[in-house]
Formats: sequence, structure tokens, C-alpha cells
Amino acid sequence: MTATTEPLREHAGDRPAGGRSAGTRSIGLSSTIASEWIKLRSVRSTWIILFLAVALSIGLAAMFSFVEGLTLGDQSSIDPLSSSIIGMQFGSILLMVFSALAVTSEYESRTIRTSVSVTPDRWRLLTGKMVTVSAIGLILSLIMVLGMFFASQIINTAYGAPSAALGDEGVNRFLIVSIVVGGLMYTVIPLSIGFLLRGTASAVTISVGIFLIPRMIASLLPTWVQENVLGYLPDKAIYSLSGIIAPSDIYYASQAPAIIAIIAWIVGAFVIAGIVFNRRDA
Amino acid sequence: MIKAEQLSKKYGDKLAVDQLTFEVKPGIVTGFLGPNGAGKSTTMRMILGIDNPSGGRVTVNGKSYRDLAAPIQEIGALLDASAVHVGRSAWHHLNWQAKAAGLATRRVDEVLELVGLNDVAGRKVGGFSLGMYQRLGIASALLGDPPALILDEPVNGLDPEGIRWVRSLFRRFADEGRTVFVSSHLMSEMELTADHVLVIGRGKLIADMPIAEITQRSNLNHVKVVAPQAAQLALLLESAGASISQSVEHELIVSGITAPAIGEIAVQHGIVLHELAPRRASLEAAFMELTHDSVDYRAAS
Ligand SMILES: Nc1ncnc2c1ncn2[C@@H]1O[C@H](COP(=O)(O)OP(=O)(O)O)[C@@H](O)[C@H]1O
Ligand SMILES: [Mg+2]
Repeated sequence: MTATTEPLREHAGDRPAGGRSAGTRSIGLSSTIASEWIKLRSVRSTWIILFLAVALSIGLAAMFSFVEGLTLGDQSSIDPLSSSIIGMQFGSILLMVFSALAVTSEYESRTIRTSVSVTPDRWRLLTGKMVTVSAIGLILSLIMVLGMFFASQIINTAYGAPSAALGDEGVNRFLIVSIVVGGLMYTVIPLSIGFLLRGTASAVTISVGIFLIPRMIASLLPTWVQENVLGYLPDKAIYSLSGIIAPSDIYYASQAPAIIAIIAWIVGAFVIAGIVFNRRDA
Repeated sequence: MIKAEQLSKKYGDKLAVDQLTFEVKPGIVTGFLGPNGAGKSTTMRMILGIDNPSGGRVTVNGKSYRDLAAPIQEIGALLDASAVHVGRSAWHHLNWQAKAAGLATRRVDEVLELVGLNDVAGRKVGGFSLGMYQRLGIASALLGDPPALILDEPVNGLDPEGIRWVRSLFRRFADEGRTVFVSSHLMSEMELTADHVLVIGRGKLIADMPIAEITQRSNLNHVKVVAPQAAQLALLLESAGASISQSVEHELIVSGITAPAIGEIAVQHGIVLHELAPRRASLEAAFMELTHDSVDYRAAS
């Protein structure tokens, strides 16, 4: 490794504002997004996590339908949509890990300081990360949800169990909500929490907790809470909107409030992360 | 041009930077010197908009860093060379910065060439040596071809050849009319690199002067005098305002007066001198003297 000692090129003193020779193009949100995309695609962990998310979610959905088909005598009790979304249990956790890591890995390697030096407009940095991570989340969600859906339906059909097809009553709504709302919620919330907590372990734990804990402890809570609060938490709101939770269910939130709750979670997470990130030392 | 006015930073109760006012001028290498824990890194983070000042302000070319439209093209920085993602290649590490700053990708190859890392551009940074990390950090600082550079302890971890290279790089930058601001906790390093030094201790500015002046001002400068009539000479010198710090047989250690002045006093009174030797404090000693009262023993070194 020999260092170059030749002159730096034609240069300097006559160049008060500087940097023009470095080949500037205009800098904006698209530059930040391009940069964030390079950060994500240039580390192997991104590809491993995304691959595992797809493989495990589709694999689990297929396995679940397979076991259901084998073991259930009365196959008409199978709900073809619920059994296909089951794989999202894994898929969503991996998507949350991916999203939290997009920022916590920067705090843990301290590259966040370089990031804010290059892009001192912290709202733009946050927005660039959000857009990039949630775009990947949406694409991944599309692959996972459709993959799980078709895998389940093929297996259900093979067992002569009830199956669903595109265009059936409620199916398109189920698919669109699962893809779009899931893709956004599983990325925006963990990424925001990552900005707030700055550590991978804590951000992943809290994010997963927000989605899973209400589900696990729901039946222990007072009825009033079950009826009026749980339905607006991210997990249940997605399922009410996609139709997995029926209107008769105690956790059901009707459409408009569910949509408002989801928007409030996404916007709220983004804004709180932005305010804290802007004020705090990086 | 970097300008700090009453710049302060508090971390909880700890005052890390205490009302610093200084200017870093273009065309010279300015050293930023102080013992560990003095507040050098904190000051640099505030210059770069990473940490927010608790009081006062600091500007780069007249603007707060966070208001610069194309910051890394106005000032390039190396704060912490190990702040890289170990699983990313050197090339990608620079490329994400280039993209974010709207710079052409060819600039990445140019700076890698400049720091001598072009052969390992595709290798993961995790396998780099300390010196390679440092070179990568310098590459990142040079990415925007900025008219100002700010580097925190840049020679740490470099081999002697690397250190010489870095010094000549700073010199060249300063000669090109750029601003170069380099921190170190070692005076010996500054002696070889800087034209001007800012010395801080416990967050406070202790000295802001050309490097040559530091030793001139030191109280450690003294004159050794050997004379058979030492006792008589001592009295004469004291009445001329000098102070005698040591007197052993025929030997005196005198400060507060120059050697020529001592010689003239001796001649006037017919005193024979066997030796008259000015002793200049070393830079290291002058620095220790300057910072003696402000070494932060609580800080980890
Ligand atoms: N993020 C931080 N939180 C709390 N204290 C800090 C922080 N950064 C620096 N300090 C403290 O501020 C003082 C100055 O530190 P620093 O700027 O790193 O000094 P230097 O770079 O001169 O060695 C030290 O006492 C250090 O412990
Ligand atoms: Mg330091």
C-alpha cells in the first residue's frame, strides 16, 4: 500500500466556496434515498434477513395448510385466509428486525455521525431512510403475502379443503391490506423505535412487543380494554381491516377507526422519531 | 474558515467545553492541542453539527454546519476512523456518502487512489488494519474536495510512513490555501505538523498562538550561569529583576532575564563568567506547563 504523493489536481486558493471540482449534482431527498439504498444493499445481513423472511413465511404457511389438511377431519372448518397469513408471524418479525437494524446498526457502528455530517438535514435523513426501508418492506410484503396465499390455496385444493382465489369475496381486500398496511407498519414502527432507542436488541424487542404482546395477553385484560383499546393497536387494527378479525369479534375495530388508528401509528411514530432525532446529539 | 464564539457544551453536570472563542484560518495548519478529556472531540462534533452546543455558536464559512447546502464540499472531516460498518466494503462505504452528497461515483475511485486503498476497495472494512481504517477515514474527509479539513487525532494507528504521508498531505492542503484543523494530545506531533496551535484544557482555551511562540513564552526558559563570584552576581541579577531558582557553588539557574543582559551586567561589574547558557524549554515541557493545571484526572485516558 503506497500512498500517492503527487499534487491533488489543479486547485484551491482561488476557490472560496469550494468543492465544485468534486462533480456536484443537486442534493435532495432522492440523493438521500439513493444513499440509503446503497447502505442497505451493500451489507450481507440485509439479504440474509430478507431471504429468511420470504422463505420462512411462505414455508410456514405451506406447512400449516399441509398439517391442517392432514389432521382435520372436518375440512370445511378451515379458513383459507387465516391459514395463509399465519406465516406472517415469522415474516413480520424478520421485517421488523431488518427495519430496526437499518438505523440501529448505524448507531452501533457510529456511522450515524457520518450520516448526519453528510446529510445535516435530519428530517431529510429520516425521511430518506423511511422511504427506502418501507419501499423494501412493501415489496417484501407483496412477495410474502402472495407467496403464502398461493402456497396455502394450492395445498388446500389438493386436500379438497376450502380454498380461496383472487377476486373471491373479501380476498382482494385481505391481500391488499395485508401487503400495504403490513408492509408499512412492520417497517415504519420498528425504524422509528430504532431512532428512539438506538440499540438493536431493545428496538427489536419493543417493536415485536408492540405487535405481539397485546395478542398474547389479550384475554387477561379487562373486558373494557379488550373491546375499546386492543382493536386499535397495530396488530389487531391490521387484522380488522383485512377481514381476518370478524365484526362479531370482541377485538374488532370498524373500518374507518381502524384506518385512522393505522395512520396515527405510522405518522405518530415518524413524527416522534423525527423530533427526537432532530434535537438529540447524534 | 471556522469560527467559534463562546462555544460551550454540557453533558449533564459535566462542562466538556467552556466558552471557547477562536478562529481557524485558511492557508495554515492549525493544531488543536489538549490532554485527553480536554474537549477537543466534543468541539469538533459541534463544528460538524453532530452535537448541539449548550451555549454560544460555531460556524463554517459563516454558516452553522446544519445550514450548509453541500456540507462535505465545504468541510471534510475525520472524527473516528473506526466508525464504519465492518461488513461493508471500502468502496461502498465511500459510495453511500458520495451519493448522499450528490457527488459523482468516480470521486470514490479518486479518493481511494489518493489514500492508496484502491487495491482493497472491494474488501470488507472489517479486515482492515488500524492504518487502513485511518486512510479510509481520510478518504472520506477528502471526498467532497473541500476547502477545509477537520481531523481528530488523525495519526493514531498510523505507521511511521503513514504519519509522514499524512503530515505532507496537511502541508500540501494548507499550501493550497485550504483550512486544516487537526487535533492531538501530543505536543510532539503538533511541533511537526502545525503552524499555529489552539491549546485547551478542561474545555477552556489556554493558548492561541503560533507554535514558535509557545516556547518563547514559557516560564521554563532559563539561563545557566557559571561564575566564580556567583553569590555577588546573584545579588546583582536579583536587583535587576531576575529570579534565581537554583544556586549551587558557582552555578546559577536564572530566569526572567535574557543571557545578553546577564553578560552585560557581569561586564559592568567586572565579574568573570565561565559559562552563560540559555536553556529553552522544550515544546513538550512548555505544553505540560500550560496544561498542568487543567489536566482532567477524571477523564479516561
Ligand atoms: N457524549 C458524552 N456524554 C457525556 N460526557 C461526554 C460525552 N462526550 C464527551 N464527554 C466528556 O466530555 C469531556 C471532553 O471529552 P472529549 O471531547 O472527548 O475530550 P478530548 O477529545 O479532548 O479527549 C470528557 O470529560 C468526556 O468524558
Ligand atoms: Mg478526543
